[in-house]
Amino acid sequence: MITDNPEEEKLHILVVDDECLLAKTIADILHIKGYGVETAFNGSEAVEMVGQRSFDAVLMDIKMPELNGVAAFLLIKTIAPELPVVMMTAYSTDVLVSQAREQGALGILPKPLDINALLSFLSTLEKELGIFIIDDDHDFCRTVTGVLQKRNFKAHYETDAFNAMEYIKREEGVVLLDMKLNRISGLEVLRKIRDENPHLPVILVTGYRDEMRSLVEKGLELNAFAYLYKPLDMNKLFSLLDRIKRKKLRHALGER
Amino acid sequence: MEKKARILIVEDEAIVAEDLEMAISDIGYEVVGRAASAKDAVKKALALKPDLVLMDIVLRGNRNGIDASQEIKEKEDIPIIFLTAYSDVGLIDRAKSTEPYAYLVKPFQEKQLLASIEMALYKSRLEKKLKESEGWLSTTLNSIGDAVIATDATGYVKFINPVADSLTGWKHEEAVGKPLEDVFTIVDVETGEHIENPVSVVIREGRIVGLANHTVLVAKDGRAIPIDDSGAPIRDEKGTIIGVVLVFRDITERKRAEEALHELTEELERRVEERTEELKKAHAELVRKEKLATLGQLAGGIAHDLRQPLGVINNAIYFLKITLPEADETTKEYLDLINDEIKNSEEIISGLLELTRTRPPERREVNVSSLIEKALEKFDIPDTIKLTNDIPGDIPAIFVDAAQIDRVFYNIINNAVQAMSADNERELAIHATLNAARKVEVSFRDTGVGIPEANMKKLFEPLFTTKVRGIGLGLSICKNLIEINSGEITVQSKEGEGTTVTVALPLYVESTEGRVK
Repeated sequence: MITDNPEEEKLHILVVDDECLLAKTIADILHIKGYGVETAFNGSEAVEMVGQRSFDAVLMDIKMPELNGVAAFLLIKTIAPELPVVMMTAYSTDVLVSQAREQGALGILPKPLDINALLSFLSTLEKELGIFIIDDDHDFCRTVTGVLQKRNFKAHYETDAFNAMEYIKREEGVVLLDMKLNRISGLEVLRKIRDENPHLPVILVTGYRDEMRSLVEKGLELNAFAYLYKPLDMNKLFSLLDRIKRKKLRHALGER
Repeated sequence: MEKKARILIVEDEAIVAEDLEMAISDIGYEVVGRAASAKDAVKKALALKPDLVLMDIVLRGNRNGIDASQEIKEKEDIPIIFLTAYSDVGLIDRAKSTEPYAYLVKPFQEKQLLASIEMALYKSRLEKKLKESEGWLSTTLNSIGDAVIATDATGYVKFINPVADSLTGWKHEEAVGKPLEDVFTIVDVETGEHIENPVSVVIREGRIVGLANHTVLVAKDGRAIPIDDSGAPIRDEKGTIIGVVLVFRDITERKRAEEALHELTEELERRVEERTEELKKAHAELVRKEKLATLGQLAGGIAHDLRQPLGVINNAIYFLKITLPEADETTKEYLDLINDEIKNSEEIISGLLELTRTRPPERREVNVSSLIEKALEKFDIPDTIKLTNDIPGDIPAIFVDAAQIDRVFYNIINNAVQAMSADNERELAIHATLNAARKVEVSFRDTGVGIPEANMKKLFEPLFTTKVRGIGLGLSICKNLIEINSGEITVQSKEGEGTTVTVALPLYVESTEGRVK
């Protein structure tokens, strides 16, 4: 098999479909795109494989005899709760589809598969989430960046808001924006960000809870993703970043 | 003689009176009394009511027999025979005014007396009968509900009864002696022309004639009264026409009733038509629903079974495209061709599923303009099509399921684009207005081939299509989706000129749903 980029360490994916030809063709495409792929032809087999090996994502048909895709997904959740599972279906209105959604499947791909959507999903999945901190407090920037990098996030910072705005257009990750900057208000920066990059996720950060409340609200109206208080609760930040990542993944799958 | 005639004798000379009484009794009549003066004569005549009075003209006192006769005549209709001793021409002339039945010149013989009395009694009975019958006739004519006018043979009014009087506005006294045309003017209400006087027709043709329809009588004061009438000849015993009798009646009420009936009939017919139309629609809807149900049963299974192989082909093409980057152009073209056909097939399948398993709408506040933009984004509309997208900024938000209405707009735009061939001037105009029913009306007008009249009714029927490709689900889906979103869809089209599809959608009202921030 030819692969695009054999040297690079790519994701390991499990493809599950009782329709063997579908499982095989998907696996072949993913393989040729450089992913590590394994196939399973029924639900039980898939659950068993997840128990034995570590995967980065599961692509699973919903309608399968005996153990259907949703039931298999529920079992997988007990083994690997963080494992992203994407369902596939030939029926868009089936009851199982809404069950899968309720149970937290990342997305539902209709058959025939939109392979570009699938590939975009995988590339989003393998890409580390970049975090860009804009805060005039140099120490704050340094400590937070350090913690994030330890957690395998790609983090960088800028203490000068005007410099930050220079390259905000290219930014793809998440912005952590302090509301109180020395030469310009955080809200003003947010407005500029929105002009350049309307959908960029921005987390507002403020140390002045009561005084900044109205500014925070205005920020939320400008489609800020969330806000956090200083000192930063890192667990809250991680969970926000996780939500943003899942949102990006859903978006890549073409979900609303 | 069954009953003896009763006779009053008026004679101032007792001997003559005695003789007369004897003679009369001998003949066989009854003498009911005798009077010797004019005053006595009047009193007894009125009290006794004899069948006949034998009146001596010359009486004692200041009044004679003629005076007495006049007074009696005024009050009672009793026949009188004058007796006179000599024939005085002047007296006889005066006596004539009292219409005596006979004169007897004294002396006379018993035979003469008998003949005179018999004649007088006979004539009097005859006259009474005539008067009775005349009276009966005129009372009848005056009492009946129809209007009656009688004329002589030359068309002059001889008689007009009170009903005719009130209809024509002509009083009996004014009308009698006038030509009929003056009193009885009739016109045809539709042409406004005068109608020939029926009297002349009756006289000319000698038969009973009726009036034509739409005849109105123009009364003296100008009122027009619809009438119904007939004219009949009056003939004497020899059969000669001596006049004409017209009988007519006011038919205003009848006309009104007829008109009301006519209106009712029309109303009834209209309702029957309406109901028939409704039934037809209901039937069409039923056919549509039945087709949908049948399709629904098939669709699910087919969709799943077809999507699996399509999925495999789809993946295989993708794979080939990656592995054959150096393939020649034709091969690449063929690969794209297969890809397009997979998409087409997939569209048919999802169309079937959408139509038969429409999910309940998730309605929310939706901006019309951005919905249109979104639908247009999916098209690569060529520059040769002039696109007008005119959604005014003040068009309020609608309350619909965005995905479902997006699908509707997509289908409509798709149809419009497909309907426009390249050689015509092409224009697609999208407008939005707020209609009188407080709905947002979005219209899509194209300059395409249009829809033949015969196909208009079948537009929304599933599986009806005129396209070479496609199985006829698009508009059927649109109708379903619009209806579950409380909207309406209408199509206007002229073959060869273009089609306008109008979709009316409900407004978003704040209270429709609690707004969640």
